[in-house]
Amino acid sequence: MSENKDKNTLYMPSDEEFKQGLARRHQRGNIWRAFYYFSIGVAIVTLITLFVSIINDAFGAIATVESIPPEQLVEDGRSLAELSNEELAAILQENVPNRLLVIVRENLSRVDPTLFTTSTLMQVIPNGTYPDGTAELTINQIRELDNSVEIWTQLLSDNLAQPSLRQLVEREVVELQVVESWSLFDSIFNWSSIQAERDEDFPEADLVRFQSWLDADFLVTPMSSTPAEAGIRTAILGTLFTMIIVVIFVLPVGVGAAIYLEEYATGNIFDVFAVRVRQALDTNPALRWLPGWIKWIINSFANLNGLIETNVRNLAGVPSIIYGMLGLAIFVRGLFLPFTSGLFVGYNVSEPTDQRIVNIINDVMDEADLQLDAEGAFAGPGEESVLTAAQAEGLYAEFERLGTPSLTNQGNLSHDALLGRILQRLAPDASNAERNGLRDDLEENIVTVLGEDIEQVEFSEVLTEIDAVSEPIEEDVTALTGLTTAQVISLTTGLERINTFNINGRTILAAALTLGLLILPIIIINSQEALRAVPFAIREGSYGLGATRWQTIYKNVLPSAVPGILTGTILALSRAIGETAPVIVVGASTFLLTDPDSPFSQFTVLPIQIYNWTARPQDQFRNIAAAAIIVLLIMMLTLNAVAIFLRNRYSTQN
Amino acid sequence: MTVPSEGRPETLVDRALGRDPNAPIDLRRKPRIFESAIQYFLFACGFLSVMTTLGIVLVLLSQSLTFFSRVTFEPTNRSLVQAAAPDDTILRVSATGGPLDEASVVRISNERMNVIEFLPNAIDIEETGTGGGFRNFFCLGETDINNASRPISDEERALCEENGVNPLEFQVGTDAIAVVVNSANEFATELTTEEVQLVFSEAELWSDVRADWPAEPIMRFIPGEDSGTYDFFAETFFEDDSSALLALDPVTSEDDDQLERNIRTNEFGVGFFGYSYYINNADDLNVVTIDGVEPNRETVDDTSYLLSRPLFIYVNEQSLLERDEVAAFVNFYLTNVDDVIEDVGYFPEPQEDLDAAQQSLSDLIAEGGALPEVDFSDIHGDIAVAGSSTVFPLTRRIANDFRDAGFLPELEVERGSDPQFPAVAHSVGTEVERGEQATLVEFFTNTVWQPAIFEFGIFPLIYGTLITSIIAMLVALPLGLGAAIYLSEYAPTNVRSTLKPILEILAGIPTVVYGYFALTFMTPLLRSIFGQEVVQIFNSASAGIVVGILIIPLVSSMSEDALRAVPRALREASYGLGANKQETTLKVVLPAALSGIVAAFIVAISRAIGETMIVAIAAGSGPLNNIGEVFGQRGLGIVFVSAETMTGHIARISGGDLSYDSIDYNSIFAIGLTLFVITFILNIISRVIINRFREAY
Repeated sequence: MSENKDKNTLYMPSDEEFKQGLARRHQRGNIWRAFYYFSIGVAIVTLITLFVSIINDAFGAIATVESIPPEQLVEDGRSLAELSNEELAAILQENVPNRLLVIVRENLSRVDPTLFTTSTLMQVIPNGTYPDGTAELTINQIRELDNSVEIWTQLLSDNLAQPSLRQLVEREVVELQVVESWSLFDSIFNWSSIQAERDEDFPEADLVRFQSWLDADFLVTPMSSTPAEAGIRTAILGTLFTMIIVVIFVLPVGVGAAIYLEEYATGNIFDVFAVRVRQALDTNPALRWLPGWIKWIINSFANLNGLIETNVRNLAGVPSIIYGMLGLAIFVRGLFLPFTSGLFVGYNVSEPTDQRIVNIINDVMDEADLQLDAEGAFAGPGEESVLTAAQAEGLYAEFERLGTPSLTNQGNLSHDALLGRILQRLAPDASNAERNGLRDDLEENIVTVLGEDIEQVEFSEVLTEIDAVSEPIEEDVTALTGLTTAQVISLTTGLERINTFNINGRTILAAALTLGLLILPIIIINSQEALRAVPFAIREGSYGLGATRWQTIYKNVLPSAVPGILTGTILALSRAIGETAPVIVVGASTFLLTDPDSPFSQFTVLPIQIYNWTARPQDQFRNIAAAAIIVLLIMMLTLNAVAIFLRNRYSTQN
Repeated sequence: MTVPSEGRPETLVDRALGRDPNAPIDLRRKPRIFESAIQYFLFACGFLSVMTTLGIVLVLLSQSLTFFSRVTFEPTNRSLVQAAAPDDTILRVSATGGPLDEASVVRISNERMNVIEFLPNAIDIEETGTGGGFRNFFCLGETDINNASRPISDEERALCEENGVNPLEFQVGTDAIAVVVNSANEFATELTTEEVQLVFSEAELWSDVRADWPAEPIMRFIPGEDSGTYDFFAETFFEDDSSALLALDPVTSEDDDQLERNIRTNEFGVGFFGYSYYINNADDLNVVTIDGVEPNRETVDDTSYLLSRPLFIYVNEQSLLERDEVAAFVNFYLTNVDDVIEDVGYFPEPQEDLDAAQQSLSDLIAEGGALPEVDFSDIHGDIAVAGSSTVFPLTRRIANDFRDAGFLPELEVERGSDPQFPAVAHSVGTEVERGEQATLVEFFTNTVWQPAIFEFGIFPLIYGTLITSIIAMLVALPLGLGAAIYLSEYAPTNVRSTLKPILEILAGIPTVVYGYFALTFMTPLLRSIFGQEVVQIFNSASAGIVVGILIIPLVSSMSEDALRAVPRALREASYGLGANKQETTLKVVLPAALSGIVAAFIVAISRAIGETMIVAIAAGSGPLNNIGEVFGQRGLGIVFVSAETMTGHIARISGGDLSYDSIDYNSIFAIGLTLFVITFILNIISRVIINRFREAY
């Protein structure tokens, strides 16, 4: 274009130039077009690769090893499925006698594992069948018996169904182990080399067979630490349970907020207030001097409707893990703990059994050189150490009270409070001032001797230095309580022990509320769109017929908007189903064997299982992670399909 | 508002209710009682979202505040405080834990005291290899002691002399390696040197070694390449070619337990590891004699067993003579080494040799007299040790015992310093309160994040986040925009209506699935392209690329909206002027839609920064604390190194057994606050761009 010196004349390229330029332009156009095709191609290829690699891992050949083949266990050639309960239990007894108690604990026990050995058989297996004369014995007592092995065996054979027993035999005795797994492609195209590989690397492996990691068993068995036996039952139930609560919580709130923003916000009292504030800031001479940015801040906060609107949009961009941290701080441990843990409605609040109280008291009594008398009341061997009836009753009541979780007693009372309570019960007749004075003296002594803050002190440590602690105040203690300082501290350790329970905030409810807050903005925005799409004429018609605003919304606007709202909600839910980060932070269990049975249960969800399995090094965990991913994707795609179906139906109707 | 009635006819309802049909109708009396209640309820629903933001901000702020105001405690040795007289005003106490500034305040028992002096009294032991220790430290006079698994070479001795360092040699023990086979293996218990070489290199079957042995495959289980045991074994048998050991792909493991278990369960297994480990498992394994020599104390001592080597420490004569702490430590070493050496896994030196060594030590220091009795708490100074990683565990063990014997960091404190905390009767101290707490400045300037040693610099985490986000952007921006242009300008309607849902599916897949994809597909792919040694299993590149793929749909759908909002007339005008499609797209449509596209990019960046699961799974679990060093070694290859991100760190820490009353717990909220602020600002910028620069057509 160098000839084009004169700007007023129109430059016309020569034919030759034009043709060259055109070819170059076409070429450039083609290159760019190739890039656009490439971009969209990458997206699609990735999607296909993703699905293929998951399917590739979820199915394939496996090589397995059995410790004891089932044929060796049964002599007459029957399969395990044909054996009776007694025979199966006998196999267990013969091969793994030392594991029987563990098997009972893991498969039959209904009590907390920490209480297992001190509970009676009737408590461990409620409504079970017990061998003669054992129902009232504690596990520890039975363990002392000579025929304990027979008792465990009989318990298992009487109280478990045949299929469970068979599974136990398979798991404990046969011990089928997957030693190597291959991907689907290898299995299809390289079957012979798999055989060769097995012959070389795992000559002891019994068989190579095709395994679908995703099968019916996978869906209905709970977690396990061996990949071949692991399932996602608890995870699926947890996911469903969580989602139901999310919907119950978030749908009304989200739709309500959307209705407010769309139907009420314009021109309502808050809007008027915002306008007043703006006018005042602009015109009032007392405020006019304020710098612009301060006015802007005041304006934005005075305009509540605008604030909500902006806030909803900003919240949609907050990383999900931040919601997890919010949930952790307020639902799992903070303000809402009594609510999320179920304390509020009395869930999981059971008084400690008399037996447990007596057990703990027995223990500390021994340490304190005190004894229980035949009726279970407190008594001591020496004259000085006998508790009065009032003291004994008071102590028992205190143990019962502090052992029961309640809104006012959430466990882990401070040492200060524990000492205070013990002294109150031991010296019921003394005045508050006397008791408090004694408590303060005692604490000061402990702090001075052990050099630690009273809350950091272990009471057991106090007992080892008890001489130094008690020396200056022994007389006061005895005068007030009739006991030695050592005895008082021992009793306090017992009280501390019974007061140590876990108010669990890591519940389904906490996770559901967290996920609810996470998808709330999405639901609000989607519902707003749906409401906005309802023609204004419908509202005007309704007003024209004399309906009030709420009647208009409820009877006319909402019904037209429902499909849109539902679509938005379902899409938001499918996001919530796949969310992992906030659930990790809120504290999902990675290993859970019991089904969730209430909003206050511990829980796990599918994505957590996938994460947990993916993070493990063994190949077989990758396989079951892939299988779990397929289940998760099917759940999500189903939800999405419903949403798309609703959307299409809805858009054709309009 | 009263509407006058026209006098309608009386209805049945009127009659039933006793209502006068002629009475005026008051519209205000229609049932509106709940109207305003409903409005306020709905407002409350909307306000919940504001409360959520408020909650997030408050939670993050308050926990971060706790984090920055939290003080940590370090335990101290209480005996020395016990020994101090109650009316002393200046105390010397020993302390453990990190260094303390002079003029900081410590708490002992309930008292706060001013630190006058802090003596770290550290024994610093580095693993540099024998030669590295001599060449780079010991012979330059930088370390006092060098651990060595071979005698000093003439070359090294010359180097030492050049620098005026006179190395004194003390043999402290002997190391041996046992070659073992399965206990059922009765045939291969006596091997010659050549046979050992065969077994561990070329022979595939036992019958290849000796014809009368079974024709079963040899299953080898050996320590990994990085271990000293491997080096020593390879050096002894395969001097020329140490990789011959790996020729037939033996199973390698750094875990002796695992080797032992494998050999125990494989009838035709064979392997080697430290002799001490064999002795502990002698019942389950058979040891192999080499050239007829069985490893035991005698054969190791007289060096007739091939796989044995002496272990030395070399001491700088000058340090020994001039510094009490070095002399005391060496003496302590020679006195106690025989008691612990078997625990560490080596053969002890005969007592008379050690006695002789001690004698020579006392000749040197006390001119033949007995070594003076030293109270370890009276000597001060730092001892520097470098050298062989084989001797390292032994020296470390002795150093720990030396500390337990009283060579501890010491603290001189003055009592009664702070009037806020009146001094009470002095009692036994159990804690030293370090004046240290995480400060805002440290948070943003320190380049190490390691809560265990109280280093809280967020930089490595921000780096991890940045590097994955940048890689993600490099993938997502061009591809996302390209896809958007294709969909908006090029794709026929029916193709578009098929592709859009596919992109939506891509966007809807849970991120944990992408994490799985990154770890099981992308990482192996990168490793096969760039090589196993370049690409670590967990690395930023793999995570970043997959995060990029995850946000392609986000970029493309927002950009496409912006592109389609450009009116047709602009395109037609461009075509009318003779531009082709590509020119129209790039020079007319794209600039017109720029604000929307930029906004999409910013939202995408914010999404990449906040992404958690992919990076938690694939980017590694540990902040990259030595970025500079790694960058120096690898250059741009740093993207293949594992580097934890902010989100990944939060997920990992909170996923474990997190104690709610710990500084770790507080620290994740400080990270969360940083993350929140960054993403929040990005989101606001994007909204401002959309609002301000929107081209309205």
